[in-house]
Amino acid sequence: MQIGVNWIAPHTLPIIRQLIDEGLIDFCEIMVDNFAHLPAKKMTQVLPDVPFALHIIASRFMEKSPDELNQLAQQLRPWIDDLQPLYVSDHLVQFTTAEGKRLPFITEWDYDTQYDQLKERMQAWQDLLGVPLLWENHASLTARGKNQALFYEKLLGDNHANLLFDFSNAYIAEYNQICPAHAWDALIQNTRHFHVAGFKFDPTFSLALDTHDAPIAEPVLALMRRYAAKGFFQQNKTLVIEFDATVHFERWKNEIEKVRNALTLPEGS
Amino acid sequence: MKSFPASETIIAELAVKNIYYRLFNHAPSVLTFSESAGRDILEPFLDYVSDHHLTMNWSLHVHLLNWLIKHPNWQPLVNVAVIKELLTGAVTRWSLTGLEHLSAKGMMVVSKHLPGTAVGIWKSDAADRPNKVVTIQLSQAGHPGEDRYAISTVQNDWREAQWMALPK
Repeated sequence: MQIGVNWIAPHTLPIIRQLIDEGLIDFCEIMVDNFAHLPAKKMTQVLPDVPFALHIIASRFMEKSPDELNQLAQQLRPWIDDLQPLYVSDHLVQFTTAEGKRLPFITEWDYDTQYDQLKERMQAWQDLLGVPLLWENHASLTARGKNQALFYEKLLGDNHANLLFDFSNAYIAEYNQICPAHAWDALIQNTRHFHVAGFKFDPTFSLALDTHDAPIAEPVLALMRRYAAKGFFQQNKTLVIEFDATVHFERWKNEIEKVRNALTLPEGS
Repeated sequence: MKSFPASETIIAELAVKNIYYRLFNHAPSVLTFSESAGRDILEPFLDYVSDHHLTMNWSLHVHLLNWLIKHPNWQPLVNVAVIKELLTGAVTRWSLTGLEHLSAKGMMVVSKHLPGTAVGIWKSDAADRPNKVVTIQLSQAGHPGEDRYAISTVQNDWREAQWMALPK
């Protein structure tokens, strides 16, 4: 299992450098949106000694016109060619309305009624980028997420895409009573790339929200232990421990160590 | 008592909290105007946004500026520093949507309420350096006199940038 962290902006580079120097991480996942205006060589100039993965947040692959999507792909392909990332991942969420206005809150697509459209555009986007894409499961808040795991099962079989499984997102969806975490069991057996992060509970609405600014919660670690006990984590797999805010070295190091312990402990010990 | 899955009403309220954060995190001075932690600004402003079918993208800070200046309670409190803070909020939020403008090196925005000045942002030119917010002094002829923005595709050079209407 290779352990990585997410790199969202230049200001966290010194922390990532220290995590590498102390042997705590094996790779770095770049949030493409915040760096892709730079030539890829600028990334290897500052981190020449670790592999990269590429994580796309807002491609808006469903919302862009084919020309716009093609243009974006033309700009990202040199990055993929130059960095030879461990993987390239994206999200299945809606950012704008049909009229192109920014939504106040990102939302899941309708996995049932939009299946064919999603499948077609995901395949087209993947073809434009020239690499198999991973798609991250969403931290569901609404009933739209009820059939998310079923959607992935059908889709991954149909178009050979892959899942980027986020443990905390699966737990959030379970906590919010949208989709039980065990709904992903069959898919995880064939999954190679994982995420985990901290989240917050909104006390007003009693909802769990994917915030990436808190320590990883014990129920999420328990979920990881359950999968570890089933032998899902092998050497050729990766896990990114995400922090987007309130991050400093000791805090990230502590989370990495918590996760390493969770993955090596058999269930119940 | 919990009700699952979350209702449309709850999601709408979460969306408002999200907008609150996005707006006031980049405009803390505006929050100090309020005696109700921003609610007396946010709620009527969102009604205005809805009535005028405005987008929730980076231009929202410029729309907030215009709304504040029209409002009798808030207009006296809006000084040059507040205007610059709101324009900085706009360019900062623009910079967070990187995949929408990969070829852009920088963006500047002007307000009809701040003649002679633009606030801009240059994207970082190295992976270990942050973006840079700048204030640009414009000649009278250089200021379009309306709310506008312009994008530069040449680092540290605004000469080719063309003023465009704000997204709605």
